[in-house]
Amino acid sequence: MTNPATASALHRAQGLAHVDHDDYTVVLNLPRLQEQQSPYIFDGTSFAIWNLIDGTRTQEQIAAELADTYGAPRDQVAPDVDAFIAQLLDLGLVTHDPPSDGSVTPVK
Amino acid sequence: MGTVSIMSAGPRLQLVDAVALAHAMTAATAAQAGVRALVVKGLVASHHGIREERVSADADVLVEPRRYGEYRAALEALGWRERPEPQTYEALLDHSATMVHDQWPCDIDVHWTFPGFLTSREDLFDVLWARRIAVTFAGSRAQAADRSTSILVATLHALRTPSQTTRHGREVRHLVESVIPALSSVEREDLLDLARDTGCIDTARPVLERLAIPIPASTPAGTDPALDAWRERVAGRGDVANQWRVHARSLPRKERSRLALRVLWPPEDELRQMYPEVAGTRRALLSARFARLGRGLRQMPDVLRGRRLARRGITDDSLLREGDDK
Repeated sequence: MTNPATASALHRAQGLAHVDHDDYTVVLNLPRLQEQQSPYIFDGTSFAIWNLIDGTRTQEQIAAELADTYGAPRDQVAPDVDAFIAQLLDLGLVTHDPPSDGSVTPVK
Repeated sequence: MGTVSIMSAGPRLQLVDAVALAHAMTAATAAQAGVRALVVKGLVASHHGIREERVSADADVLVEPRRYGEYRAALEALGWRERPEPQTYEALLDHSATMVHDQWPCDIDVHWTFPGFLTSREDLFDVLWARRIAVTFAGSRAQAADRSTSILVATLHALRTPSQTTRHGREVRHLVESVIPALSSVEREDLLDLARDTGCIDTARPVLERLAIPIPASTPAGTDPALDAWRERVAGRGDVANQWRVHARSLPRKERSRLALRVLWPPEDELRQMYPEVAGTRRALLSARFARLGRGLRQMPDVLRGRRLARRGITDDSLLREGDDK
């Protein structure tokens, strides 16, 4: 059965500051600076996942694409992706809610 | 694929990334605190193409002076704190505070005014705020200084401390050799209008004279003590000895000797703070004291030159003609 929480597309939260490079991204959660005073760095696999969060893909689709990319079994990749995205959701860096202006998350 | 976790950038945070994010953060913090603030210098100057590309070491923000305390408190709530300066030198910190954070490799300079703009700090902010533009830093929009403001800020910053770094000389020469000649007549008039509104026609005169449009006559010496002090400082190359001399003049006579003693022979703890690289022995410290006094003495010709030009009502323009030899 499909989990409704993972069936909708994932969006990056609005209001994040970010500096994007070819192989890593640095992100600062401006709306939650009080709790998150310094930036996060996404590189390697976390960079790959972050780039797939573009407002068009669901969590399951992200796991599937990543499994294809790494040539790994989907059921092996999915728990790692789920855990990482749960952290992102908890920190308010991503959301299931589309941006208020209806746009998709811009990707560099 | 192994476990993926979220990593704070920590020591991996590169200066170039940190500075871009700090520009966004200073603006967001102001917006969240409801304080008007303009991002200035650094990436704003680069945005306007008024300085050669280089990696900035900090973010600069000008906040509305009456609410400086609120803005600073907002930054402190985010873990930023003022970089400690030797107590003696605090008297010279008359326009900004440098904030640092354990997890950031860059500083934030919070300005409540800019030296060289002789209008009141409140009026200065209001004039510059009225001209603000929106600039995007690290994907986030910020209120920033417009181009004319940025040209004047760069001019005044370079003129006041030419001895501090050869970069200041290069930057002001870049302004007069590349930026000013490319300005349209409308932009030239705008720059002059802004200089008039913010009281910097005389302080920025060496650069404004290159606009090739009529500018008001020079204000004579003795008209405005702040202008006299500026001219003395600029012609004195912004040397520390000169800064002390100018500052001492603003003090009551009886306080000057106390200041002189403290400046010439600072307490041991302050000296160690000034020169943390000096070894802990008393002999090394004494050596550092005399080396410092020697540097001060070598600045005396500049001090005297500053005094001489200020008395003649001249804002020194020699920085614009120099090579990078100083």
